[in-house]
Amino acid sequence: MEVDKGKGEAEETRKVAEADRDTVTLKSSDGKLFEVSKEAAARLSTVLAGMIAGGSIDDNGTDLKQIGSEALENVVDYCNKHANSIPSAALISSSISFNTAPFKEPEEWERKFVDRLSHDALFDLVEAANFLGMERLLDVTCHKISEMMKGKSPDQIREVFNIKNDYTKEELEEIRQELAWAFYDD
Amino acid sequence: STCSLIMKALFRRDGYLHRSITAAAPVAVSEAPCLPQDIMMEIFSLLEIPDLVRAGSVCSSWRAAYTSLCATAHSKLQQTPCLLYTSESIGDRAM
Repeated sequence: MEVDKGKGEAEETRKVAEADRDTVTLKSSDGKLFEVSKEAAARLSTVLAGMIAGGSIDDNGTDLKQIGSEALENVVDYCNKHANSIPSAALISSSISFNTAPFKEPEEWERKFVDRLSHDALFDLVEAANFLGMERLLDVTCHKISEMMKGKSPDQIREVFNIKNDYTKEELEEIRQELAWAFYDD
Repeated sequence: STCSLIMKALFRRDGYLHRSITAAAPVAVSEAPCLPQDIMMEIFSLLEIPDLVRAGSVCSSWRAAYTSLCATAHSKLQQTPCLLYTSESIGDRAM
């Protein structure tokens, strides 16, 4: 940590040093450090891009207090894998806004990337992607979760996601009657 | 766009509001990882309508996301009401 005396100067030196580095160091809520390509971080995360442009990246580890180490490790892993894959124009322009830009199917490596995650890790990664403004990663993780719901009855979905049915019998009956056509397989 | 940001902020707020209500009710205790409502809406928006309807009836917080999504889709898309609908996920039993 810097002391106040001479801080301005230290700040300047730090900024210059930072500009030369091609990675940024991120710190999870539980204090673990991760290195990620600056180019990939800026390209994939609007929040990190803003921090890099604004000079608020800390060489000793930029604090991301909202993100646990497992989720951050996955974020960094995704960024690094993305940096190594050839970015297509379609990928960069893809957007999460559900009725403006059409969703681009995940690429093979992205599919594999989310397939290996546990439910908890996947949900944590969704929240981390959302927090960091990583639209593509949010798309890919949300797509995976939607895939897990497809072709299943409400009971099967509850089982997959470990969700308790919080409806009363009456409420459930009402929904079932209203939407009877969708429940042919129950 | 600014508009969609505002919409998202509103849904997020509603999501939190909803969760605080369900948290107060002992029957609503769920061990499932809880995602903010705007994310649930993103996920639901990727589903075909039959899957969407079934997912929307899983629990009350998912239903809230489903209801918001339908309301947004109607006001934003301004699409013609769908009279006939077919999809792969309904299979042979589709009318």
